[in-house]
Amino acid sequence: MLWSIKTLAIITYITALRYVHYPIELLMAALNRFTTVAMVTLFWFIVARNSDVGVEVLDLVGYFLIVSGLSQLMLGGLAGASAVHKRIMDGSLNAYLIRPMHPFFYLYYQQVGYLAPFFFLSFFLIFLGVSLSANLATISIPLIVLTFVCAYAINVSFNILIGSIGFYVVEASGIKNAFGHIIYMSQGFLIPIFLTPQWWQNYVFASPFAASLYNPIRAFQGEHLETWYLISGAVWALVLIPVSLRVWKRAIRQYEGVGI
Amino acid sequence: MRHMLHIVKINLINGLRRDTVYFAENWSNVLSTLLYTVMEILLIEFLFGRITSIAGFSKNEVYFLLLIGQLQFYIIGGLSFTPAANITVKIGQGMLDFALTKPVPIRLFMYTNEMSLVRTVRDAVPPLIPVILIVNWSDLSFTPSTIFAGVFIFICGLWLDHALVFTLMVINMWTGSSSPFILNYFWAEHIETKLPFEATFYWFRAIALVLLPAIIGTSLAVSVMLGKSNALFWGILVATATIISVGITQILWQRALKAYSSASS
Repeated sequence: MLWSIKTLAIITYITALRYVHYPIELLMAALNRFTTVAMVTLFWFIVARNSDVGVEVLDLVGYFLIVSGLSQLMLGGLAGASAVHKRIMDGSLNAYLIRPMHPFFYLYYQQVGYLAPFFFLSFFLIFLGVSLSANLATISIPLIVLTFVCAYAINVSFNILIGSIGFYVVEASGIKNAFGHIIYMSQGFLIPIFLTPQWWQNYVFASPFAASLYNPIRAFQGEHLETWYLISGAVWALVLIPVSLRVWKRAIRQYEGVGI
Repeated sequence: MRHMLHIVKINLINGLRRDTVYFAENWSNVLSTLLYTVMEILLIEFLFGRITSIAGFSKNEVYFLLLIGQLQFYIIGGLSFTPAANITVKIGQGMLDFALTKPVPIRLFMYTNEMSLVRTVRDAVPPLIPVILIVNWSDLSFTPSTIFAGVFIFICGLWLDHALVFTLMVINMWTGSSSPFILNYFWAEHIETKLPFEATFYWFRAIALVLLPAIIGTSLAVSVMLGKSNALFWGILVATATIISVGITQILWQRALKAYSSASS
């Protein structure tokens, strides 16, 4: 194992330092995220207030605050895959291949570094969402840890798998966005899964999508999760990580680049 | 006028060539926009599986709102956002110098030069078709006057939205980079076009009409078309705002050009 947690932490830290030189960029990006969260929350507030959806307004608002915070923490927007596509397209992946590290994880934790300052916003959103909507008496810390670890592993796998497409297709951003739309819908980012019909719930809980975001959200809200949801999530996490690394290993053989 | 039309024609032909060079490679964008629409349709279907209306909007009316929102999004994306984002990069690199040496109207030249009409049509048409087919047109309560007023507000809304994007772009002349400002607005626009106008708070409408004008061309235009908002009141208000914004953008552009400095050509 040529890469370690310490090295990854250093990569993240060094990348995050760029914002010291670009304070306006940091401010605008923070405003961007805040606006997006505010608009999503407002939409669901309006839905809950102006319809007979049968869910408490605060529950729904809290759900989407936690969604926004968690998704960003786990690079749910496929930022890792985007970084891979970009480096493949401009040939700069060479510079990562010569380093004594797994190139994907180097790139991935660079992206974590880019987003690191916004993790404070993520923590705040999760805290706010939990304060507004969670039943504190029923919150289980081990359940939160278990669902979060599984979700994190699945999201990393999504980034590796979709990033690998870049080795086969010249312009992969459209494909990445297409997958992104499916993931957003299926993991409960666009609509809470408990508001969807049974056939959709069966599909998302049997797939890795629910475990990639919905399960930890409900754990944070202190909601009961069926045992098979947890088993399904753990199995998907254990399967997807080795499968995605294998896919990456095969895909990278397609890569050709000149220079460093 | 002939001179200006000639510039537009030349730029559009160049844009057409640029867009069609790697035509096959860019088809994945269509897949993305199509899937986005499919997911939005699923969202509406799931939501209306549990409710009957949102703020007086039936499922059919929400589909109509989705259609107008998407139409507005693709038009403004292709004709205003994309050029503004590209021009921002060029200004940052000092490439505006070259455009300034040409004996042409600079704004018109730069915008038409950066437009991607083929890409816009290619990305917009496939996802709009299913929404057009899903909407039950006979069930919508249109009258000729509300359609006329709604279309007028839609067009004014497009201009006001463009005026804001343009304002965010010219900030570049003073700060050196304004892409974070444009991107920030771009993401906010995704959501605001989904909101039924009647459901929003009065304070939100006041803020949105100035800072998030995409709501004018979508939520407000739909509300007027469906006869839910006063067409005359909103028509006059939006027309006045449009006239004022034309003047503001003109003044801003003149001042921005004076503020522009670069060491290249």
